[in-house]
Amino acid sequence: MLRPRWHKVLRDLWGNKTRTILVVLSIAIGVFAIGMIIGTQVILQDDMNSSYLATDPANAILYTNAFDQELVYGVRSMPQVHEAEGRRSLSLRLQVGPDQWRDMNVDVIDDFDNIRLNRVTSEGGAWPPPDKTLLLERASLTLANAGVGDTVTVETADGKIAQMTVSGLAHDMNKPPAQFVGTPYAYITMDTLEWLGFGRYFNELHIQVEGDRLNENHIQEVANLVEEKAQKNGQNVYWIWIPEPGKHVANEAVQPMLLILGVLGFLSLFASSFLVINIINGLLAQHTTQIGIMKAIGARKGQIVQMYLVTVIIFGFLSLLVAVPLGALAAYGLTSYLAYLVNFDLQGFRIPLEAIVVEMAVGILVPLLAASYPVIHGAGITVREALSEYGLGQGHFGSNVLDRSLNWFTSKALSLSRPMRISLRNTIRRKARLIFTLFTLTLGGAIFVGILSVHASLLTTLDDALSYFAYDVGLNFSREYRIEVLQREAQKVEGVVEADSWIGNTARRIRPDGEEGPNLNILGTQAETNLINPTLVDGRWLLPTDTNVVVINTLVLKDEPDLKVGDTVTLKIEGQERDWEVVGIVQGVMTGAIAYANREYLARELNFVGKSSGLQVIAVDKSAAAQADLARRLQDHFERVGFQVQGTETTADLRQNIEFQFNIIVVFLAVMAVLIALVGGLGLTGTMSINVLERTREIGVMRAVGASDGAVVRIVLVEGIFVGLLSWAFGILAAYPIGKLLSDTVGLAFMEAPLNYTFAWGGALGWLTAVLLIATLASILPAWNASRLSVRETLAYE
Amino acid sequence: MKFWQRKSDLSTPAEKPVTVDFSTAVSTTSLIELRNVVKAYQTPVGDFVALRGLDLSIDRGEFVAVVGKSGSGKSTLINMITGIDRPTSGTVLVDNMPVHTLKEGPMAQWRGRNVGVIFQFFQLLPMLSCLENVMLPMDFCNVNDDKEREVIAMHLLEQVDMADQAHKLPSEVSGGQQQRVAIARALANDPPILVADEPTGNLDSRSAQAVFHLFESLVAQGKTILMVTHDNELARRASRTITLADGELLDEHLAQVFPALPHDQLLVATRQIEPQTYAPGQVIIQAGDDPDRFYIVTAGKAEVLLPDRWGEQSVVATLQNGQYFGEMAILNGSTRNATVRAGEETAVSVVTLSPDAFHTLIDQSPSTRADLERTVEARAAANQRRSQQE
Repeated sequence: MLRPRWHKVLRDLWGNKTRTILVVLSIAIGVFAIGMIIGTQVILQDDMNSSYLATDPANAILYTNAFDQELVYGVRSMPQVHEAEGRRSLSLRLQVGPDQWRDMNVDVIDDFDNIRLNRVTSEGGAWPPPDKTLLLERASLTLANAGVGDTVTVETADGKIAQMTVSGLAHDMNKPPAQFVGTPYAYITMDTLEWLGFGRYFNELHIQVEGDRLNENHIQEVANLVEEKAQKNGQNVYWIWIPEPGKHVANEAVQPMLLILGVLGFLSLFASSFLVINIINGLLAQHTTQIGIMKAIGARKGQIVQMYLVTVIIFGFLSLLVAVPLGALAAYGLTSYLAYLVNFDLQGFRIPLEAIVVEMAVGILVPLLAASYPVIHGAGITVREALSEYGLGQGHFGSNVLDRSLNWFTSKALSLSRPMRISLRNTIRRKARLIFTLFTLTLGGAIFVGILSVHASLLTTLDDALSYFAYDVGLNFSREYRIEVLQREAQKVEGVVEADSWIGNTARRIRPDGEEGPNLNILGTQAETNLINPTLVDGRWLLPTDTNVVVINTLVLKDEPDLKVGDTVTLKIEGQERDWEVVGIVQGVMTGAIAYANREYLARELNFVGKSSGLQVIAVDKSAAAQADLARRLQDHFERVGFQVQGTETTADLRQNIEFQFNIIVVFLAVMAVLIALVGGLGLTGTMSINVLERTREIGVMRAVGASDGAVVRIVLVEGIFVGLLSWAFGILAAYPIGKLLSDTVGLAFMEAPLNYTFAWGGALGWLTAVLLIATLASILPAWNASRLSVRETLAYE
Repeated sequence: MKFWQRKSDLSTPAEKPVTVDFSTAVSTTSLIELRNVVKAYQTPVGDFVALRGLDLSIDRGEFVAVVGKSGSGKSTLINMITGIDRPTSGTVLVDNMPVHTLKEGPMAQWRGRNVGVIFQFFQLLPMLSCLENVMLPMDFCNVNDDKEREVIAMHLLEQVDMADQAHKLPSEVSGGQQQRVAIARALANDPPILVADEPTGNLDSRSAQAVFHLFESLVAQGKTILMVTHDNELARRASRTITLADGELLDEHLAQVFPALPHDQLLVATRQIEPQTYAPGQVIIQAGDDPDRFYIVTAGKAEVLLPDRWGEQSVVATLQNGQYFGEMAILNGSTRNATVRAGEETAVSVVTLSPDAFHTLIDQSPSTRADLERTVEARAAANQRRSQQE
């Protein structure tokens, strides 16, 4: 048989459903945030990596000149190599509109029914693709502007045009998602390759090592052995790519995002803890008399504490019932969205055990911790104190300078009406409650505006990054041409303001310990170029007189974090090691790791002085449509006069790709902003409900002396709005540093440098609207309830 | 019932031993004893003294009504006894337990087992049924096992005639019924003392009567009851009435002798009285002397002597607790017309007032003067009748 005290606990919960729901939601929202984030992390990690590992990913890819199956057999027979496969990759141009072309990466697979590494799977349609047809990667459909059964037009580097049918879809997890890079992927057979006019050979050697496939050093050692073998075979290995072992290519981008979400989840949990403190405080304030009675009939403090802590534990469990399934659904929804973006399949809906364990800890322990002080303090009230509260006016007003100042300010300085004065003075009667409410709502506002500031900063950074690429259209040629010839021909096309070329190559840093770092691009440009508008982070930009100096972008620091201005760095370019002095660091935004050098000096070092295979053009009209049109006209012109154009790109496309990646971050941040706003709104609703409940008798007195329904509603509403406005003011003050901190964190996580911080004034105004709306909604229910009470009911309230 | 008669002489039944044993217990003959209890509260406008050096003894089985105006210190006094509040200085002994020294936790347990508290607004927990409300003190104090608790609670509800409402919520029964449940709750742990703060203050007269009858039967069963009340009628029906004014106890005998006097005057008079004790047979006043004091008997018996027809002093009246003498000469401005001495068997205790204090007191209350004059006349007439008979 349940003891009467536990009956009381249960009936308290059931008896005041509004309060129970409010507390449960307050806890649930924090648990939901944590559950969603941990669930997302676990499912994403598990499914992304297991799907990835199921493709038998290559541990290393060697990029070489042409080779045939003999080399593959030879490498496969090496004891250190578990599996090897040859692939051919090439770039074609795909017609995506009447005058629109886009570069397309094509993988040539020797035997579609026996893919040994980096498995590509069928997603419908033909398999393998019949001759003269291609398979499109499933995430490339939008970019390719084509579907299964469509006939598309492709153009080879030497200008051959061919019509090909899209015979089916493929899924390839080993490539960055097409939309991330803005390039569609396609798959063809060797026969089709030959039909397109190419020789039947491979240029990529994919290997999987024996032994520890998660040990990057081991993989590097085996790759070096394979490189030696290939070189002995007469091959020229251009570079070796070792993907992060066991991790999907997008893992690196996803992890910092989840980390940031974790921080925001923690903050929302923090805010909801204050909410719990406030509501438990309110509950204990309402139960003061009951606590007094229980103590008067023999209850000890410990027994009262036990009863209310059990109440809190029940609140926690109820919140888990709400938050765990919702958190799991949200996690699955978020993961599905990410899976779509990253282009992998989930293994089905589930609630990860890790998420449940953390949610239970958070849902029970955090409220217990948050409530422990108010409960211990509230249960410590003496019987006399508990029973001596009578008459009007719980909460004190007028006993300190703040109260007296507000009193003077509202009555004398502002000459406010009496109901208005009541509202404003009521606001600060329960000071601890006001502080907790303000804290919750302020934190909510600060994070909300902070998140929008991150968004604004991302866009500013993006603008800065793209204004750094001051050109509008870029052309790639199949071979080098003299730069002045390219410039002269470009100027003949209408709408061109300026044209210039940079030269480029891949390089690898030789680290002080002799290890080779990953690939980076070395870009030779004129020091006083109009094509590049760098945002300097440290040091200086290039000077015309510079020789072996480089300016690196912040993305180089991701792999080479020890580099700083003034260092000497050894770069291996085309097999030759050269020393360069780092004179500056510029912001890098999703353009890869780049080291900039003086064009003339680099050209001399690379032995192609005055030549380039690329041309960058500055246009009169910088709109996306005009850029595309200019690209088409430039290509036409160059082809007409006999140049071999391999492809074109516009900065509008580039912007679209980068914006696509930025938007993922923004979506995640927005989810958290909404959660935080909810926490704040719940906090205010709870506070206003408790305030109104406590002042029921006062409301009765006001009604007895003639206050109308409208007047009662107004008094409560104005108080809520006043709290909202106060929190907004504090929130905006706190939003600036919080936004800066978030923005720096996001910047460092994604771009190795803080974002160019832009405070979201629009967001601040938006939050003002939201706060007014939240305050009104939070107060309207208690206000309406208050207005419905009869004088008799309110004065009889105990 | 005449004003000098004792209102009741209730026997003291065997007491249930107090279950909480504390090493600090002090031996005293009274069940409740307050010694020089002072209680002061700090308020924004300065210290407010609610009790000023209160001394009070209550014996087992007494039914004590505590009366006084609002703010006189009634609730503070009972809070001292229940341990709900602590004295600023002084000693509070309840069944030899120095209550004021207990910490909150032990205090709650001690109170739960030894003092049943009844409130004006019933204060039943609204979410629990009447039965559960009665079971709650047993639950908190771990008295009896779960099954026994329900049986005992039901039995108590039967006692207060509420058994048929046992499973209803407090909101479903009337105020009088709620108070009966509250009394049953107060009795749950079978405490020797019940303390009720205006238990009938929120009830209609019929319900108030029912509650009072319940109290009377509980006293008959051996409980000691302290009841704060504003209802003079009910107070008069208690075995003893103590009156508080401005944080001080009015002398019970003065209040009894001068019921019509305002409390502030009684308080002034209380401060002026002098207690005295006379050995058995000792003369207190001598006929023919000038009047020097007004006397009220507080313990023992005093004998009034007048000369008979043969000139021998003979006892014409015996005065007991609450009766007074020495007023006639003061009122008439004459010498003493009778001798009063302590009874032969026991010493007699009196409280006395000076003639000036006595005059001041009755000058401010014509009705009191009239009452006294009627008494004087009645006594004079009785004397005359007696001498005529002789």
